[in-house]
Amino acid sequence: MTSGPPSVSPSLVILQPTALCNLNCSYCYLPDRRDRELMSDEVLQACASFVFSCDLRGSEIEFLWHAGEPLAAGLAFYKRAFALIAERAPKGLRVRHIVQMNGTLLNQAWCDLFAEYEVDTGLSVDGPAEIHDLSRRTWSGRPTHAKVMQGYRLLRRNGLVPGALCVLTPESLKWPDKMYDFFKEAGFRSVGFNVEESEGVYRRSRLQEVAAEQIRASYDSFMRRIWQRWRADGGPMIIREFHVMLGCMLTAHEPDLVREPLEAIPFSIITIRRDGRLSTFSPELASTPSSEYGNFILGNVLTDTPSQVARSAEFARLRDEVAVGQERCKQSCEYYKLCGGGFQSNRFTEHGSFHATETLTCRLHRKTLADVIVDELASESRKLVLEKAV
Amino acid sequence: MADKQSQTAPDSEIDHVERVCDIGGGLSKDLAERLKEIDPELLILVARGNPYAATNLSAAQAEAALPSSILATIQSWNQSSWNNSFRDGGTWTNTWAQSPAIR
Repeated sequence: MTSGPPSVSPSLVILQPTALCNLNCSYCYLPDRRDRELMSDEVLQACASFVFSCDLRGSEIEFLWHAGEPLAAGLAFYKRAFALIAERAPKGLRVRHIVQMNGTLLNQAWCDLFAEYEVDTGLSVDGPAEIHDLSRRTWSGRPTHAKVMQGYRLLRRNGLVPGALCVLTPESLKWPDKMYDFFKEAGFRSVGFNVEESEGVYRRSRLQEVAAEQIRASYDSFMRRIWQRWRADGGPMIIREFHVMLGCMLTAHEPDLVREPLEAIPFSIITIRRDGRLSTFSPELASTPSSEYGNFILGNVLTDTPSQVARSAEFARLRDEVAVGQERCKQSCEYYKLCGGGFQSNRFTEHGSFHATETLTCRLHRKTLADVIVDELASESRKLVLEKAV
Repeated sequence: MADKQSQTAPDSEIDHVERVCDIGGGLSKDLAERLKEIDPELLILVARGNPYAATNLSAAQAEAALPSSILATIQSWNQSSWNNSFRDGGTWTNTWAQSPAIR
């Protein structure tokens, strides 16, 4: 479909130094979470060489450390990794590290390292304890909320302000006020709501067990209530879903502008596993088993250059498959402009094909979300008109 | 029967296709109309409530797209927010601890 290999120009590099995780969250999509293998220094060096030989066009590149629990790789690993990357980075390129963690392994030494390298942090927390602890438990089944919040407070005491990443489950969707109050009162500056998704080795979200219309209605009323609370507060907390959708709506009147998610752009995201194998598009694909697609591995930083990866038959096939799905979304979806297509791993896990279009996540996180925001803003606009008339 | 079906799509299907084909850039007529019900100033105000109001456009695209009055308003918020917000692709990762890619 598309001719010629694209340039490899990542803006986000996701590094998975270990699959090991000290938690056993009920909805986790990652495999091998008890595997203690760690990314070797050889792979680490090869990652830096690979990334810095890419066609880097921006003034900044982001390294996101994730999957399983990144802190399980240990402090010494990150001291070496951050120093190596700083040493290898081309002059003038700003390197930004982001660590998305569960917060339970934090201590002062971690905070010192994060402060030294100006690392941005994200904390996975699913709301108040009674909701969070339903899904996010240790391997022995113990609750984790208290430990997570202990880590959060430690970060704050060190002047580090993490964003919250929260998975919405069938339980949490019932309690929008509790959820909003929790994030507000804890003082989170930002929160991103994910929905429990079918991805990777988590083959079927519990949200898919509920009738489609029922779950749409639950998500609608949850987000509507969050919106109303957020508006009443004057919106000091950044809520990712509103933030991005409002941005898209600002230019929705322009015919040629369409949202362009990173995960639909070849090599905009590169995910590198602990053994050096890499993939692109949705990072979850790196954790999605598929004999048909060779587990979505497109090469290895130990042996391949960016141009070799871009010229590979594996990449060409994946790119073409993704392009077909994107085009089908563009032709058929009424919300395409506000979405741009995406959710590649969801398409594959839910439907077994990248040609598929609608997924649980796009039904909720794009279509229903857009409806909620448009409805609420239109309703507010009508009130304004009436007020002006009076 | 199968031939007949392939020659003549059901009315509901035609309606759907026409409705969707009318989007001319990715929005259904219905959704575009609903968006028009929103007071543009209110939209800006609400987005402004979030100091990092963003689009997934590059700065050049955004500047080209936005009416100058809106552009001036947004630029006046905060120049660094503007730079962060309108960065191509990554958009809000600059202002966000976690990545959009992590779902």
